[in-house]
Amino acid sequence: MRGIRFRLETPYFAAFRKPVSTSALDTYPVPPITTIKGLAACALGMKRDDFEFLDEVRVGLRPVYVEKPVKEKALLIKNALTPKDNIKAFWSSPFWRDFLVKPSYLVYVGGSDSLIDELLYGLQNPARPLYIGQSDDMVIIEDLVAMDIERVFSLVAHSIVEGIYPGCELMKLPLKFENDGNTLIYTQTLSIPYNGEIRLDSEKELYKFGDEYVELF
Amino acid sequence: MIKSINLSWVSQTSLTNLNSGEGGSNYIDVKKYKWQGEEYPYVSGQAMRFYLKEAIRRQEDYKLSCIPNDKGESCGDVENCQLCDLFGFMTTKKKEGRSKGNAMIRVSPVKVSPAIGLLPFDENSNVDFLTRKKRDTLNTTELGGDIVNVEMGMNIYKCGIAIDVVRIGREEVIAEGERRTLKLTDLINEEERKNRIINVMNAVLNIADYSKQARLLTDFTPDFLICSAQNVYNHKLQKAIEMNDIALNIQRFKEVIKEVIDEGGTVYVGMRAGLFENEEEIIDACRGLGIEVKQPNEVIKEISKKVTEDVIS
Repeated sequence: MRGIRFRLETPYFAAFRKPVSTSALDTYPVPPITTIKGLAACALGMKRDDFEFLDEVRVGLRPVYVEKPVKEKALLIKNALTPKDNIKAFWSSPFWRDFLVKPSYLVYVGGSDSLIDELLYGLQNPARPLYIGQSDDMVIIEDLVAMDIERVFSLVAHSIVEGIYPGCELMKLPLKFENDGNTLIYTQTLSIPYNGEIRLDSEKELYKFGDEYVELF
Repeated sequence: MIKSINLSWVSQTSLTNLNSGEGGSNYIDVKKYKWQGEEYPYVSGQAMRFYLKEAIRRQEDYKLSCIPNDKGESCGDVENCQLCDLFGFMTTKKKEGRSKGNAMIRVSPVKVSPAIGLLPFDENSNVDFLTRKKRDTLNTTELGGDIVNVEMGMNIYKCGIAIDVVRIGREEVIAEGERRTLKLTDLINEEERKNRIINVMNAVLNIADYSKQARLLTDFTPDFLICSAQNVYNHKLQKAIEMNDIALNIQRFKEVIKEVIDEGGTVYVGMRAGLFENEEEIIDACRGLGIEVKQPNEVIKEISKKVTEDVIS
């Protein structure tokens, strides 16, 4: 199997909104699996909401530098749906939005040989400008490397892994869409390491990217 | 062939409040972000887009851009409205009968970053005390008025925009049943496309609609500007500007600019005197990279000339 590893940086801010947020828009500390796959699909010039692509690649992730989110107040323009709605009263509603300042991550992608070769070219020469999270959040992709990867058993992981491990932030991330995009499927509980690696309590089957052991979703 | 244009600049401001935060009762604060334990001011990306849009609107006949309706929705006419073309839109379509409602989306070909302060806020700020007299008390002899405190700061802000030259004045079409056939349909002629691109760059030199300008009168136009015309999409140029105190990080600047040039990009640098402590070093570094340092407005003229004369994708 082939894989790609690259560093993903945002030069300004980024926000990965939790789908259930309403008046307080929380952010995940890492881009969800669906977001990373969307970035890859965008680089390949795929159409919006190509849900098939979500099953064609698998993604792993490791935070390199992430600070606590910053909170800001913003205004959201809401439409008045019926004439009796008071437009002036509901012109805009305040909400709180979290964002991350200059976060960076290591991203691992695994897939078929041909798709990975295509993706390698696509990330170097994207079909569209790449952004992540909100539509103005620019991204920079660096240290892009393609390599052969293999499944091995390991007692150490260098990425987000399924399960609960000490010293990690626990979270479920959006994994894929089903039912023509209407149903969002989440991962099991994941452990997010901020110090680069997780010591596992028993051997786990992971993907070997060079010297790193990574779980792909 | 130019596929994308990146601009990244810094601007030194006097005492000002360019974008207010949440505040509280009679306190108007500055929006701030926290980085490595220090607070820095910023102007949100939404605010920067608004300033740029207003600058573009002012530059030409106002009829060339729509005014959003009472629901905040813009016209979505890419052909006739330059702001809808440049900054995209999302217009909702109501559901009819059994059909699902959906949205008509144009992804903005112009990405605008927030303007992020590079100097810690508390070392460069002040709270201004003032009073506001209400209209109905203006003719009375009574002294006083509502007390207001406005937070203000001096800072050096970094900001950037990225222009997707390929998609300006064009619409992306993916054929039915295809997954990624990228076909672009021209909605306006090439001359008008070039004109709209140049309008965005000129707007950077004319930003003026930020808050509190009735009294504070701040100049927020670039003091140091780097532009690149690239034939590949990436935002590397956005990280060329980093500061060590009041000096530009020369090593990083050289590395990033060299990488953009090595990828086939053309880079322009403009600088006003008196901002960085290491101006001579910057000029030498640029000379080493084959770049002549000019004034920011000359740089915009030069890259506009390139857009006018060159073939754009």
